[in-house]
Amino acid sequence: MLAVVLLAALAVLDGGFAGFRVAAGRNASVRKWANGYYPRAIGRGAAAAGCLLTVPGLVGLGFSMGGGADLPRVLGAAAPSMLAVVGPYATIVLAAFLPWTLFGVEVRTLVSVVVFGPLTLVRPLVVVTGWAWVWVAHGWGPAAAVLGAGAAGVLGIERVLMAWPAVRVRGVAGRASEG
Amino acid sequence: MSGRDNPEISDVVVSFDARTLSRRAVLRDDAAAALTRAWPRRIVRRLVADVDGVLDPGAVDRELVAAHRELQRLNEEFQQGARLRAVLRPLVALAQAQGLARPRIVDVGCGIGFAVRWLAAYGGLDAELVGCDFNPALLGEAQAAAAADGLDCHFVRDDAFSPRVGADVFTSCGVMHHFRDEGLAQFFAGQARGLAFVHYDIAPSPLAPIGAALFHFARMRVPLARHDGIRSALRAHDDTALLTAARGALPDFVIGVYDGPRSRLSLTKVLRPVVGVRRSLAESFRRGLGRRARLWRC
Ligand SMILES: C[S@@+](CC[C@H](N)C(=O)[O-])C[C@H]1O[C@@H](n2cnc3c(N)ncnc32)[C@H](O)[C@@H]1O
Repeated sequence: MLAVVLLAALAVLDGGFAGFRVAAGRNASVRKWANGYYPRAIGRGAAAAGCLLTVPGLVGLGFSMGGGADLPRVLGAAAPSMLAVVGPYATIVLAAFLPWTLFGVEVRTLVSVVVFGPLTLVRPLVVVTGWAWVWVAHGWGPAAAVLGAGAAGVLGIERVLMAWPAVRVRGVAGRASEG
Repeated sequence: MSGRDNPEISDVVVSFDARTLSRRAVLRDDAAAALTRAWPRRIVRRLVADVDGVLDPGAVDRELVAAHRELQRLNEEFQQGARLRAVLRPLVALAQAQGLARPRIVDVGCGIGFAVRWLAAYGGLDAELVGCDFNPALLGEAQAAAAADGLDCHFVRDDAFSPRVGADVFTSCGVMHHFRDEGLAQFFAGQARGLAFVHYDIAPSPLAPIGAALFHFARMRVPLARHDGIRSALRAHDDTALLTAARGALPDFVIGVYDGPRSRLSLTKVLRPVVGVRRSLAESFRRGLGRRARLWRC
């Protein structure tokens, strides 16, 4: 079950990053950390990801109530397959913060060019591949359905966050009004 | 017109009279016709126009402000403020050594004023910081953001070719590629009264358009910003074009490209500046740069 817990934790962490991405480029302040804009956005993203986790939870509950599936067992067996794909991705992203934090302008830029930018683009592919790997390795069943619902939540979180009024106000259509 | 010279959307959806700075009406069809590809044309056709087909200035400005906020995000990610500060420090010291207690730095084509506001917040320069642009909507956003952050800087409406606002040091970021041929020479010539200039723009390379596409799709959502960002990388002037234009227009300046340790981490040279200093001050500037003087390739 550790793999399931890790996947849920990664989904919440990813939600924080998604919150940052959605808020970035929408506020002209040069003090977005100090004035709370980014911390709020990250918190919002993580909270939204936490809420979205109820969807796979409900799918799992449905299977359990339907009887037949020993959900903790099948989920515990399938989750490591997904973690085998998304885990290395998450490790690279998190590890990249070390040089980013420790070094100056050139290294920060290099980390962005080589890691943060390209990995943002391939993120949906990594999530889909992780889920497909579960399906290939364990076949279609309750575990694939639950993890698929979780993956859908991760893929959809930016859309959910974009619909957030505070973000929309700062978006293409609106004047800056929220700090 | 060669492919390299194809304009960006932001070049064709606004028009200002260079002398009076008044805004001219732009017909949506004319703007679309000035663009050679289907993608930017589609973006322009989606902009609101009145019954006569004149683009709604408010709608255009909202799109431009949104695009510039996204551009600021890229500038932040690529540490543009810190890069600019590193070159400006010795120039400010140089100006102060000439008896100017608080030299004036003017960022030409400042857009929403990211560079000026960043320097005001984190630059630590004893200098007057001014941004100028011909688009009042962008300046309004710059002013509002500066006020919200409590920053000591200001913004004025001015034309990049003949700025009326005097400066000791002129800067710009991502502006030069908007100007071609005569325009580029005129841009430099307009700064003849300053002591120095630092103009950043995209460094052209075979990788630049790929990198630009990657980052503009990863980071931006405003279609105009995506398109123009990618087009900028294709339109960027090479070192020779910039140096030829600058040296022709400003014979009293020593001018070179300053671009950091290109061989080691050239992937990080997304933007690089052309730096010019009055001939009489060039040696002092070199001394002020210290070990980094070798990065100023004149
Ligand atoms: C690509 S944007 C760069 C904005 C800003 N420097 C930045 O880095 O975010 C180019 C800017 O140049 C301004 N611009 C273009 N031609 C100009 C002119 N002739 N006079 C003044 N500003 C001009 C535009 O309004 C726009 O804000």
